[in-house]
Amino acid sequence: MKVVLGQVPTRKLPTIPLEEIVENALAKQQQRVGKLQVDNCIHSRKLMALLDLSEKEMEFKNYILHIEKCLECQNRLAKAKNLQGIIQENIPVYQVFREELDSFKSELDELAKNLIKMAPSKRRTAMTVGKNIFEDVLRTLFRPQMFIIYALAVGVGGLIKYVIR
Amino acid sequence: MNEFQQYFHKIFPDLKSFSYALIPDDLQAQQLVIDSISVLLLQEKELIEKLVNEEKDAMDFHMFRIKIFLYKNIFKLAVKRIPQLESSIGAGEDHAAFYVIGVSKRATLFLQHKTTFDYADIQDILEKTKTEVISLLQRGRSQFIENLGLGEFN
Repeated sequence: MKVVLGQVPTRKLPTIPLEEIVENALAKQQQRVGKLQVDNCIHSRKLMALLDLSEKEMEFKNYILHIEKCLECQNRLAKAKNLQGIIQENIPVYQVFREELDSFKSELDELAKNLIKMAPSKRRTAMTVGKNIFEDVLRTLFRPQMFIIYALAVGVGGLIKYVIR
Repeated sequence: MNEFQQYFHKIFPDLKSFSYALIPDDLQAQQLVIDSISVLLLQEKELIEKLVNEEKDAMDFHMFRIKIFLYKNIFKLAVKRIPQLESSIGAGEDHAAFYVIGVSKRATLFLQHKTTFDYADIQDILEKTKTEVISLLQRGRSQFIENLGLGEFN
């Protein structure tokens, strides 16, 4: 089996004594002063989408300012980050081993050679274009119809010369 | 060995990994990669010509376009082949939670979480709109989390 997974974090169940729980709750209450406390904040639904965006796609500066103030969104953001981590770790990634890569390389090289053969080099392209133009001009000049035109031109030239005299 | 071949060797593990995320079969996944290169050979002569002839600065851009083209074709071919192969390939053995999800959602999840492509590239590869990509991603994640037994998503 060559499929590997990222390391799944081992989660331990917390064993916090009652006093500590109360203390934590009080500390959280104190932290809430000056912050928004909204249940089911409408913005919290967009958090996963926010995590998906790359920096250049960031167009939610106001939204980020909101998160800094909203506890609901902060909690949801932490949860979303955790979920993203779990998803990332559990998507299987195929690991290519050296022997397989080597055997595949020869196959790829064969294909790549064909690709390069198909693409003519710049110099070769320029030479081919020049040669083709020269050939086309010669072919046009020596067409049978062209000899009639040459004869007519010589005739007309002679006539003009005779009239001038 | 020219730069094109080197680049190709470099991206091969990524391509194979993407193929395997779509079809959990070693040989079939490998065949997908080979076939997408063959499609490139037949359809994108102009792009390859540019790659061979152009200056080094423009080369990175064309190489990236080739990479996108290959991912796109791997996905296209996989979508066509999966119905024919369904009976012969399993659900990815240990990774059934991932492989029971539909192919488009799987592709979106893989591209978003295991590659460096941004939304625009993923749209290009899957030939979908941004809204469709976001929707696939959302539904794919929700299903995956549920299949992993981690409760409901959101």
